[in-house]
Amino acid sequence: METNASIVGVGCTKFGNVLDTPELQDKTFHELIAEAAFEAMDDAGMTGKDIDAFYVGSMLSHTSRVYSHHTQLCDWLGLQLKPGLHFATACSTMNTGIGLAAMSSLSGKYKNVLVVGAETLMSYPDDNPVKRKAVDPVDLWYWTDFGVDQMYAYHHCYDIATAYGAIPTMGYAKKYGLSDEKMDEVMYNVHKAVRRHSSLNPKAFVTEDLQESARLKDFRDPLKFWQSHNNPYFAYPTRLLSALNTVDGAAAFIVTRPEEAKKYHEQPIDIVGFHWAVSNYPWYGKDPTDWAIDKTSFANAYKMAGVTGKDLDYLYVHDCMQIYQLILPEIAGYFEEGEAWQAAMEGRIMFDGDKPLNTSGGRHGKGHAFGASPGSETYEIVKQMRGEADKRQVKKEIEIAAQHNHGYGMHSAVTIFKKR
Amino acid sequence: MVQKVAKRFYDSLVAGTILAAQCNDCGNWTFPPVTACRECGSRNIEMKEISGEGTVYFYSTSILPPKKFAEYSPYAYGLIELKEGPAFMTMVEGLDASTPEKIAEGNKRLPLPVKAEVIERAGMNVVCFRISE
Ligand SMILES: [Zn+2]
Repeated sequence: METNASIVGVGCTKFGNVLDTPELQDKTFHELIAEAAFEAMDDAGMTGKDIDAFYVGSMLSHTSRVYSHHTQLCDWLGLQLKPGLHFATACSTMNTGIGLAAMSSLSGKYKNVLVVGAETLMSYPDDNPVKRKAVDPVDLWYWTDFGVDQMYAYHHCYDIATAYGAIPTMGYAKKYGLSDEKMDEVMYNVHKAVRRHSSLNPKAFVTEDLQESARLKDFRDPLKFWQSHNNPYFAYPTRLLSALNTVDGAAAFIVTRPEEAKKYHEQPIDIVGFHWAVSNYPWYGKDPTDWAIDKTSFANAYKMAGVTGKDLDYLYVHDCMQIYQLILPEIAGYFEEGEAWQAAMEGRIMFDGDKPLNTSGGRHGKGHAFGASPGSETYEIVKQMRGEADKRQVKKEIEIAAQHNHGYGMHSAVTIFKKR
Repeated sequence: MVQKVAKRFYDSLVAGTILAAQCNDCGNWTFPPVTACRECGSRNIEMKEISGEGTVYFYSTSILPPKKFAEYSPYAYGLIELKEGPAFMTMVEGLDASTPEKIAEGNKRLPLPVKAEVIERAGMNVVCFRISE
């Protein structure tokens, strides 16, 4: 196992809505980026002078109302005259940024690289930088869908909730012979973990756990609440609570050369493998759980790191639809085929279980700020590996962890981390 | 020079002809057609009419369809595998997507054979599939 680069600083804003979340209220896209970047710089004990290059990840210009992020942001970050660029692979953006930064650092050209990402999805500046207008979800998805095959698929009656949620869920149930009722109970258990994790994460969007949500609607049994009209089908059999929550937020990390990492942080987290793979839509065939892109990205990242899925102590997978918390850990080899749904039923995927997964609450609980989300997940992984995850700290020592993300349309990014 | 693929595909639909690209090197079909073979990457491809035969494996419908297709909602959006090999997703006629219960029942009947046809949706000619029986 060879260390290619090391993470020595991480930062993340609260995930929420700049229109009404107290920690974010009235902050601009530029200020969210500065907040995440400065936390990462402080974490690494760096100032702008120590940063050799900065890469800004963001997906939707329709809501940020920004192009040339790097030129607009350099003075907000104290990085004038530094090399900077904007990059994107949709919802996997900042995971891709880890590999980009690692390659830059490894080449020796730019040793210390700041990767920062932000997304504002709930509102946009309405021809006035400090006056925002709420985004209509129909418009948000119209713009988002520019990321999926626009030549053919979109115009053939495209339906994201069916393709991304319902059909993979039905495929998983069919593969393991689970009835519709049983599969719904499995998804309820996955969601229980999501909400337990987000309720313990002060930076998450959804802060109440599932029991609390049920109680507020006069349900004593959270399963009955789950099955009620409060949680309709988004696309049968996928319920609304199994899908993402779009939010505003930003995240950042700093990558440096492994031999210099201890100068900046006493506990560097080493990047030992990464890989990306792409596919056009649809990314699966008649078995909707057989995902060649993810098999490819995991296999190559593992090969680079010299590990297998069995070596992972912790895994964070893309979960814009919570069914991915079952499909992807099996593809990753973190679970055997058919083991993930049982593990979810038994609570093994919670932070205090033996197979911790997505402990910051995932893209429903923590919230999904498209290009910035993977950065918030790297933040969680680094905090967990350092032992700084507070109330949701994984009980066992994490030596090796993996992060997986999907970018719309479809991109698969995997990064492998190792503790020194 | 790259030959026009997308315009030819959509123009052919007016006459009811559904084109794919078959690879002259590996023989695999790419549907809908693009400028290279999806299997081997070869540019040595030929636009040919497909049989229109296929199988539908799963379907459902969303409560939040894109605004372009909102007027048709709820509609059955299905996963199809063509006889020629490629997977495709589009609207499927003959499957009931009116309620979650109907979707659950409908999926228990799958897989079923389907046949491609050209329909007009949101002002464009597109390919949909219809249950064959
Ligand atoms: Zn070929």
